[in-house]
Amino acid sequence: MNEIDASQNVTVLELLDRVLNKGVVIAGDITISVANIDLLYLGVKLLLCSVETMEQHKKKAAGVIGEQEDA
Amino acid sequence: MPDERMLTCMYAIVDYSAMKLNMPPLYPVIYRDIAAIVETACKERLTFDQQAAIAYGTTVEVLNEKFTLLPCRFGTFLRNEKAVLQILQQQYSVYRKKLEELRGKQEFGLKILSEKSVWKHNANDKKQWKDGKEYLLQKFHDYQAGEGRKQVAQRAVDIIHEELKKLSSMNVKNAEISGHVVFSGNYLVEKKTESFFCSKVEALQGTYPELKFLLTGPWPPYNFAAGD
Repeated sequence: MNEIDASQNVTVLELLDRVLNKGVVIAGDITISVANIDLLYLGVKLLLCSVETMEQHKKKAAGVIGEQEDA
Repeated sequence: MPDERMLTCMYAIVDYSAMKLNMPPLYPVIYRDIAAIVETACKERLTFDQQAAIAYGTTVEVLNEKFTLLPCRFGTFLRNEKAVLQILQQQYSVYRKKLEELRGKQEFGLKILSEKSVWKHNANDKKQWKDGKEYLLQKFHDYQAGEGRKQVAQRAVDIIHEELKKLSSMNVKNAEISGHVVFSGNYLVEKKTESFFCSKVEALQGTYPELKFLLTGPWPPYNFAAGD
């Protein structure tokens, strides 16, 4: 892999790490099911981390929506 | 009657006091002097793959050039504009305060990698051992040497982080590091001192050639946008 490719890969990974794991989280939003997520090649750690994060938010959102619907 | 097939996708919460948005199909949901930049999306057409995540991040970066903003996480959907407005109303003071903190600043990410040799000594891996005792003694010696090098690298990383902290308004040090990555952190840097910050990183790289620095940015302030 040449230096430019490596640099682009690092940038893509860094971008994905941010958009998937960081930023403002809105309580009560609808986080879409991760069942269909097809995040290729990201590196096992990043992928697992992101899926875990999405799962957490999914559960949280489901809880909030459930509470809203119960109310 | 709201269309059940549609969702409102949120990209960012921005300071909407100075600039106006003209980036269709994006549009602002405005509350006082802040706005959520959103797009209406059809549930059936939503995709959640790498390309979609990159496209989302790229859009946030474009917005970041125009506005002071709090980037939202990819996959943030609300039922409709009314729900977005409700969030802005409820969280206005929190978002307003955060936006003030982030005004004129951008994020830089830094990862520091070490060669494997810093952590593990492999020179004797292929050596034939006379007996088990010699093998264990050599392994113990290798372990001690490796630990010594590890401590040296850790001290260097601590010094580097302290130096960069002085040039940033805020910083976060990521606890999770593994493999060759010996440090991972993010720094919130004023736009006017960005080039100085980058040249400082370059100078530190020169001081510690045994470590490899990966500096990325400027990014929208993903690591500094969440509430306290």
